[in-house]
Parts: sequence; structure tokens; C-alpha cells
Amino acid sequence: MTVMEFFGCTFIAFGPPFALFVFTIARDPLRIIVLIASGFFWLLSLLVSSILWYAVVPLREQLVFGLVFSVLFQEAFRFLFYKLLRKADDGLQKVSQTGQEMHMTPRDITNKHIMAYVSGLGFGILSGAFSTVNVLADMVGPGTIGIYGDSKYFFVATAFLTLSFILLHTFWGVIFFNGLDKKQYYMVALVVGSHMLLSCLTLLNQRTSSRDSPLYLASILPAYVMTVIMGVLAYYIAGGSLANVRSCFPCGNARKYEID
Amino acid sequence: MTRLRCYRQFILFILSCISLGASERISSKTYVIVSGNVACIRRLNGTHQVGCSSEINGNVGVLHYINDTDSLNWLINSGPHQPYVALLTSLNFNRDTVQQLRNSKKITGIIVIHTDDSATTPLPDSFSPADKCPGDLYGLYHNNQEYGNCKKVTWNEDGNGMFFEDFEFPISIVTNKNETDYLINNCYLKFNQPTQGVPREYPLCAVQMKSRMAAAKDSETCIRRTNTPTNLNPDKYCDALGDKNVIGFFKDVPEDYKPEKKSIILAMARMDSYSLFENIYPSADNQVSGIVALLAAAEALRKYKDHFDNTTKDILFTFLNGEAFDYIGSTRMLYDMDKGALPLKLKMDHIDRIVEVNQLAYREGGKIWIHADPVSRNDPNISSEINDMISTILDIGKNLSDIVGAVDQTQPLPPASTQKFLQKTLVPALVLTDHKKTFTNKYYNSRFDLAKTISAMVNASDNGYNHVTDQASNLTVAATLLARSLYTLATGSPAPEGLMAEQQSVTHMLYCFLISPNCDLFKQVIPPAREAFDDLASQKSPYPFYVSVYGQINNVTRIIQRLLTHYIGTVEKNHTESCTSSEKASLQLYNYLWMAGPLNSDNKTRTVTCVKSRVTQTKAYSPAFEITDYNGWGGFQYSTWTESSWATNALLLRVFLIPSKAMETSILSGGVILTLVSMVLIYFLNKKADILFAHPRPSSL
Repeated sequence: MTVMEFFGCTFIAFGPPFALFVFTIARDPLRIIVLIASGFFWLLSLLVSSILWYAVVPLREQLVFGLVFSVLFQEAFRFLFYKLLRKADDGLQKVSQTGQEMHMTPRDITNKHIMAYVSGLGFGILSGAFSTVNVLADMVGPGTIGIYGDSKYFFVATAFLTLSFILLHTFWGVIFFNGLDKKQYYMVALVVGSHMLLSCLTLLNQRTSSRDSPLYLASILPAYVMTVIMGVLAYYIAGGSLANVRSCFPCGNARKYEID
Repeated sequence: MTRLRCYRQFILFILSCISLGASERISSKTYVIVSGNVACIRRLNGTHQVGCSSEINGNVGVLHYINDTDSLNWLINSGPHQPYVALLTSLNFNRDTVQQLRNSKKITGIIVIHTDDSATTPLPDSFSPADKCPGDLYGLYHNNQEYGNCKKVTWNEDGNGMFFEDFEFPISIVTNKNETDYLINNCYLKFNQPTQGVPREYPLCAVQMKSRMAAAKDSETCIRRTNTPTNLNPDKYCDALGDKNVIGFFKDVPEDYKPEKKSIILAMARMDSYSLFENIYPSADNQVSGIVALLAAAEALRKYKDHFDNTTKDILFTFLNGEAFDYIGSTRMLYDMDKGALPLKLKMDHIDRIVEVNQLAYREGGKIWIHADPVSRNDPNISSEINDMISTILDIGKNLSDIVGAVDQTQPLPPASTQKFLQKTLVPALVLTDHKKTFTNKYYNSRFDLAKTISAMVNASDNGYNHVTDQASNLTVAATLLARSLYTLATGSPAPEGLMAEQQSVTHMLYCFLISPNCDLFKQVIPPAREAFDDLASQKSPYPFYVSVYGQINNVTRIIQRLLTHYIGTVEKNHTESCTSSEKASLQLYNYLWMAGPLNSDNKTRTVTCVKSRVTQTKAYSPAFEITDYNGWGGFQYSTWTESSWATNALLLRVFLIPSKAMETSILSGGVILTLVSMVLIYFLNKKADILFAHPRPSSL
């Protein structure tokens, strides 16, 4: 039975995001609100791209058309959500428990990167869910894909690509918001450009008449290279550094207590 | 759909073929549904369950095509990927093979190829899923030292009894040629066929067979469970088999008519048969040949109806239903006689003689054989009457190119409804059939009892409707014999020369029953309603001759009633009230049926007719299911057959690939490891977030 495939792929795609959610989001109601709200904005972008896809009848069969506009809409809604979040700072501060109890501005508000990270993760989780759930739902039966000659790695490839996109969205969130905050617009352009590039690379996953088996590695490898690059970039933007990483290991423990 | 389509652009979706459009789900790329799948279903009697059922979610096995002994032995001895689903050709599907496969414990289902195409479905030498001694337990000779259990003659030598076997796995046939080819070429040959005896590697092509039956154990249990509601939406586990008998009195009589004792000749034929698979019940020899002969005889006698007056006997044409399932129809008729529930309060003592026709298509030595009961011969009166009847019929047969012969006097009756009547009262009775000893039909109650095997096959196009086959002309002689015999037995005088069955009618009936019901004869007799014509036009295959569950009246039963009415009834010239008002009343002396009528000369319109006759339906429903607190389930008095019910989505056959265990396990463990590692990593990242994301202080710069 491929119930095993189902659980395997679910864990691959959503295990790390789930861990992120549990340890960094779940304890803080404010972060959950922002996560859901950003997810909702991603859904709106999906809605708009659906409408466009549905309206332009002659291009329905052309994946490229829908893909390009879908990426643009997603980034547009990321921008809109950024605007909304910056306008909502005061309101969020009011509903924040820590803010009311301790009469101080909560760290979530002062550290802009936290909300950028949360909204990026919200974008990622929703996009991951929508790209994978229908595949996962069809995985539970007794069979696996391939009777028509499709690759047997389809499910695994889907899961890994989904994971990389969830993580990428998270990092993109941090970079994008930071770029806007600091008016470093090349960062914004970097996010949009890399999103577009990677999405176009996934077109290689199609089977065409000239190519019988899809080139999964051609999209998965760049996706993970990109994930690492974006991750490192986001880490540096959020204030991390190699020195910080080094100080994390046992010798650095003493320093932490000093700070506290 | 929009959601699905739209999003697939975004990340990834394989499109096998862009031009086909992008609206498929992944499941449609994973599974190929086999629609021409006809399952073996489960039936139950008072003590056992027989037939097949799958697991609740279906049985999944790797497909293995068996077309010779090598492939069979490979599966049994070396096939490593069990469980398997065996794909058998029609020649390989027999009890031996099934038993071998079953004993190997390696299979979880069997698919049999059964298409119209004789290249992919060659005709086996013999195949009969019935047992070797059909109907013995409920028959006249049950427990009889001398004749019981087929001691004298094993009627159905070729019977393998598979119909009465309980299979713990599903068995299906695939009726569509393209799907058969797909199973063999795209599934078996492509993925599974061992290369020089070495099994193939995963992924392998597998089949899911789903035919989950609701009933279990026996009729008593499932009826009890059905009648004990456990929730607000009660489940139905099984339904009793049954339908209607068709009976028609021949003579025209006054309204105050009361039948005298020994004044009726019972002319009987049986209407039903079975086969191993649902909805494939062709029954060409058993029972269409008998039905057609009796109907043609009735039609022939109609012309001499005025010879029948109050000095002659009446003929009761009787078509019994459910006889293949332990004599449901005849048992019920006798039960109704006792209860006075038949028209005219007909009783057994009104019956003078019985003439039954059985199979007539495979005439042994070119003859029809007369069988009589040796037990009745113990009574000297009956014995001499039997001898009179036999000699009468033999004389008539002599004039008809010596078409008839009598079997040895000590030979018991073959499986026939007459046995049931004689069990009640001994009366002179004959059974006319095509075999002298064992059945000449090699396909008794099987899916091969077809028009082509009795050489009555004609092309539906190409004016096949009017094409007289050898079988049709022979059956016409048989019908003439039957008509003349009935005439002589009823009137006591020799039959007139002109008393002949119509070859045309026999030809038409064979066509309508065996090739296509959408024929002019049936169109003449159906009700003059648009729905009736549409229904007939929508019939793609012949009507099934299976009694099926009690409730709705079978098409075959209706059409036989109408044909008999058409043949022996009187057309009412002026359409009176009786025609419009009383189509239903069954205990009245006369019945009236509206019929669409023959084509007019313009070949488009029909003249609606109203036919008056003494033809009616009676119940063919086992009393076992009507008697409150019936406790004879293990006895052999009343038929106890039921058919299991199944959910609407319970029948499914689909083909797909299954991954290797190694791949499945590595995916699952990969996922689990990834999740756990990320859990640990993120826990520590979060713990150390203050340090990791600490803004560099001037000192560290």
C-alpha cells in the first residue's frame, strides 16, 4: 500500500515547516495572526491569477502564461501585505499581550525581521499546501503513478520541491520586507527575479514529445542551491553572522548568560 | 478544478500530453479503470454461501497472464511477488486450474477473458459451472435408493460445480476487447512478464478487484440480519430470488366456467438459467430452445382453437421461473394450488397429464427424446397412460421425418420441473428433450450457451431477422411435433395435416431472444407506449435469462407473457371498457393486454390492438420467505436461494503500478528522519536565536 508513500511525502514536504511553526510561531498569538493573514494574502494572489487564467481563454493550455502572471501576482500581494503590516503596527501592538502587560514595545514589533519571517512562512505554507495537497490526496490508493509511463519519482520530487518553495518563501519574505524597509530595491528585484527564474525552471518537469522523462534534477538542484543562498542572505539580513554561529557552540554559552 | 488547474502552473505537474489539456487529476494518471468488468457475485441458500466476494477495499495483486501450463507453473512454483491476480484465457479457466491456483495460496483474484471475439476468447470443449446432478436435492429422486443422486445417469457430465463453490477471492470477466488487450500488452507484457523465467523488478503492474458482497453465511442469517434494524438507515444484506411464472389457458370458455377434474393438460417449459457471472445469462439451449418450441406450438394450435370445446381438454401453457434455483416456480405453483391462489382455484387434481419441454437445441442422433418417470410406472394405470402418450407421440413423430425417440423405461427423469409436480401427485408425465442420456449441451448454464454454439447465429444487420438457420428449421419441426401431440392428447383425435408450426415465427423468436430484443416481433407485442419502444431500442444485448431478485418483473417474463397472449389470445375488434380498465386483475377469467400491433403498409405506423386471453402471471417466489418463522432452512422443501446485495460503488476493477517495498520504505523513513532532524535543529536554533540573530556589537566588528 502506498499509504507509506503518502506519509513519507507529507513528512518531507511539511515536516520542517511544521517544526518551524511549532517552535517559533505557535506560542505567540500575534505571530499566528500574522501567519494566517499572510496566508490569506497568498490565497488572494491565487484567486487573481485564477481569474486571469480563466478569462484569457486562448492561453489556458499555455503553462508559461499562467506561471509568469502567477509569480507577478504573488509578489504584488507580498508587497500589499507589507504595506498592510506596516500600517498595522500600532494595532498589533495593542493586541499583543506582552505589550499590554509589560508596558513596553514587544520585540515582535521592534524587530521587523520577525514579522517578515512569519509572513514569509505564511506565504510558503499556503503555497506548499496548494501545490501538494491534491497530489497527496491521490497518493493514498493502492497504486503509484507510472502506468502511462510517468516517472516513479514524481511524488518524491513533488515533496522535495514543495519543501524548497516553502523555505524559499520564508527567506524571500525576510529579504523582500527588508529591501522595502531600507529602500534597497535591488533586494526586491532579486526576490522577484529568483522567484520567476525558479518557477520557470519547474517547467522542465513536464514531459514533452522530445523528452520522455522529466528533468527533475534540473529544477530540484537549482531550487536547493537557491534555498541555501537565500537562507544565508536572509540570515545576514536578520542580523546573523558567522561569528554568531560560532558563538553558539559550547564556548559561546557563557556569553549568552552574560547578556541575560 | 480551477484551483487545481491554476495551481499546477505554479510549481509542478507533469503533463503527459499537453495537447490533451490539463484537467486530469493525478489519480487519473495513476489508475486505469476497466469498465467491461463483470463480477462473480455471492448467492446464498439455506445452509451455505456460494460465489465470490472481495475484501472491503478490494483485492490487490500483481497481474500474471496465464495462457499455457508454463505460465501457470511459473506462477505457482516461482512467482515471488505474491499476491497475484491471475488473468486466464477462456480455455484455461476451469476448475482444475482454479483449484491449483487456490491451493498455491498465491492469488488474490482471477480475471477471465470473455469477449465477443473468438480469437481472444476461444470456445472451450466444455464448460458448465452447474453441478453434475442439477436439482437433485429438491427433486423427485432425492434419497431414492435406485435413482437418487444420479445413480443411473449423470446428467451433467461436464458440470464442474463452480457455481456452487464458495470462493474467498473475487473472480471477474473482462468483456471489452480493448481492455483485454490493455491488460495483456500495457500491463502484463510491459511490466510483469518474466524475462526467461526471471521475475521482473518493481514497479510492477497490479490490479485492484473490488466486488464486495454484503451477505454472508446463509440465507437464514442474512434475512434475519436484514430484518433486525440496528440503525435508522437499515442495511439490506440479501434479497430472495424470484419472479413470476407465466400461465395461459388455451380454451375459450364461458364466464361461469369451472374446470373439471383431470381436464387440463399442463404444457410446461422453464424460463431461467444461470451462469457464473452477473448479467451474462444467454441460455440458448437451456432454456430458449424449449421456450421457443412451446410458444410456436401454442401459435400453431391457435388456428384450431375451434376444435377445442367442452368435450375436449384444456391446455395450460406454463412457463416456470426460478427453476434453476431449486425449482422456485414449480414449488410456488404447487403451494398456490394448496392455498387456492391460482386462477380458477386450480388444483393438482385438475391436471390430467404433464408434457414438459426442456433443452431442444442439441438433438442427440437428430431426435427429440421422450423421458418418463419410472417411479410412476409402479401404478399400472399411470404406466399404461404413459405408454399411450409415448406411442401417440412416436406415431406423430414418424410422420415428421422420424424426429422423436423414447428412452429406456428404467431411466429416471432428467432435471425437470415435472419432478416437482410428481413429488406432489403422480400423474402421467413426459419430458421432451434433446438428450438421450447425459446432456448433449456442453455448456449447460454457462456463459457459452450462446446463439453461435447452437448454430442459430445470424448477423443483426444483413437481414438476419428473417434468415432461417438450420436450428430454426429443426426447432420448427419440434414445435410441430409438440403442437400435434398436445392436440391429440387434448382432443383424443389425430391432428389435422395443416397443424404446423410457423418457421417464420421460430426464426423471429430465436433472433429476438438470442441476438437482439430490438426486433419487430417484440415491437409488435410491447405496450403501445413511447417508453416501451425506447427501452427496447436501448437494449444492446439479449435479455438475461436469470430469475434475479424478487420485486421487479423480468423483461423475459413480461415478453413471454405478451408473446403467449399474442399467440393464443383473441384480438378484440371493438375496444370496449374491458380493454382500457382491467389490465391488472389477475384472478379474473380473462385478461386484456394492449399491444403495439403489426406494422401498417406504410412501414412506419402500427395499429394498436387489444388482445383478450386467459394468460396471466403467478408468483414465482419461494414460500420460505413468506411463511413467518420458517424453520426448514436446512430441509429440501422450499427453495432458499438469495442473492447478496452490494453497494453501488462496490464493483471496481482498475489497473496501476505498485512501487517496490524498498522505495516505499525509503520515502517514509526519509520523511520521518527529515522531520525529526528539522525538529531538533529548529528547537536549538530557536533557543539560541538571541545569539544567532544578535546584531553585531561594535566590539565584535
